[in-house]
Amino acid sequence: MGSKNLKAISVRGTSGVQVKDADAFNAAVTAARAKLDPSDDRAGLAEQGTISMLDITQSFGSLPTRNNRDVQFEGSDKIGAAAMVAKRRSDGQPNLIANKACFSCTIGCGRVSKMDPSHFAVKGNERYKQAAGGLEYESIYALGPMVGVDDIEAATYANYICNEEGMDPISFGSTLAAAMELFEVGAIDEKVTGGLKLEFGSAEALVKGAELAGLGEGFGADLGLGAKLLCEKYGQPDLAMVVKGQEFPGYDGRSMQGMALAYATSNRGACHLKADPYGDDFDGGPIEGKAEIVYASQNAVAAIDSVGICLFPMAVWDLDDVASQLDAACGGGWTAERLAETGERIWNLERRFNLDAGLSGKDDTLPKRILKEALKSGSGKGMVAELDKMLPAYYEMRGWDDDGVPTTQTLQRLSML
Amino acid sequence: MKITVRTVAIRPPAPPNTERSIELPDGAVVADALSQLGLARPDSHATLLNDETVPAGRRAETARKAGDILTVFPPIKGG
Repeated sequence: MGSKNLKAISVRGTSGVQVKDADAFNAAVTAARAKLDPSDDRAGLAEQGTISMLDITQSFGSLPTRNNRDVQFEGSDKIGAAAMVAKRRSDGQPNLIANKACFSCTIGCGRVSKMDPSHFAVKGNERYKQAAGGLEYESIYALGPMVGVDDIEAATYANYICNEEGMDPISFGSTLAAAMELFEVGAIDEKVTGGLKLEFGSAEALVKGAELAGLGEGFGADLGLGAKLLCEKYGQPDLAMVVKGQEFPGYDGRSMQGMALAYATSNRGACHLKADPYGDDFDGGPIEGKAEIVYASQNAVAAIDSVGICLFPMAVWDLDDVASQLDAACGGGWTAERLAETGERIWNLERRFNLDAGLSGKDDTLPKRILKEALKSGSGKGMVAELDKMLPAYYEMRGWDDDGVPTTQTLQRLSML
Repeated sequence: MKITVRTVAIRPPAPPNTERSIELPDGAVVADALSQLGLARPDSHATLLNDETVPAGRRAETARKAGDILTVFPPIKGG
């Protein structure tokens, strides 16, 4: 879309949405809500938001910090869920003022924030003193620990700018972190950055970097390249924490090995939402079991995404709950098994698209840092991502050859030939 | 013996981020400590013992010693 100068596609319907069997659909939705609404998982997301994940990854030791050099951040208490609701000394108000929900959702994990009006980022700028979208886990990870910044107000401001300019805060923050490391190792200097001191921990650099990237001005044009092209431009490709050119979300694959495999094999590059290895990773599941967990959850997620629902209800739903709603809405004899098989076809279709576009099994990899540099702290202390053990098992489970290409038998099995 | 329990991102009635000292009998295992927290579904939570993961299937056999730090959190998924 970016290469076409296209920012969004807007569609407006006028004739309503029909479902195949309204009574069955209402019954299926009511049954699914009866599982979701009273659950702890729903209440936890509503009360604490996704930002509570920061306390978990900090404790577990999987919180990417300073461009993944560390996995625990000494300033996490200043930017976590508790900090978001704490009353500020300056004006007696908290950063968080409300939560919000998408249409028809009973979770309401979204956050609404109002910045400290005396913060340097918004001084003299009334526009950003209004209520606006607040920090999620992924945005605070990228605009906080990843760049070494413990200023929740600066992160909130950078998040506002990302939202306004259509920048993914994960990609922006991770790219800024790469730029900070380039600055630290001397690959770029203030002449390149236009006088900006890109030091880890600098809230000023975060705020100014977001503004420049949004405008595409000065060093902001370099930040707009993303971490991969930026680091290649300045001769340090290993400093880009990316897979297939996409920046890392907020989980380090050395202490979360299933996530490492999920990042490496995701068709759209490093992504935390294309597989569900969380529970097994946090439970310390063995390396030998990761391929099956990633394979099965990738298939399930591909189907769920195609249905058009959020992944968060899946904390308590299973594919049967999705199938019953889909079948009532659209017909077609949907079952959990058929959804999983459809998801597998989607995954293979995306894979074939990538192969046709020039990607190969060699792109199913991770940055050198994640593969070679052992963690210094946390539950994964001393570990690197053991991708060499997980990837062959994953390919075999998928029915792909040693180069990661779906075999003829696999495509026949999935009716894709 | 006394150990320290840290609860992280836990819903009420347990406060989300607290550190408390609890008393356990000699020979107690991780599962014994978890049962003192009043969690509705203790098996659905993840545990770290002195920064090392203790899988749910090993909590009944993982012994404790005085001074241990047990961290407990729900395995929520990212956003």
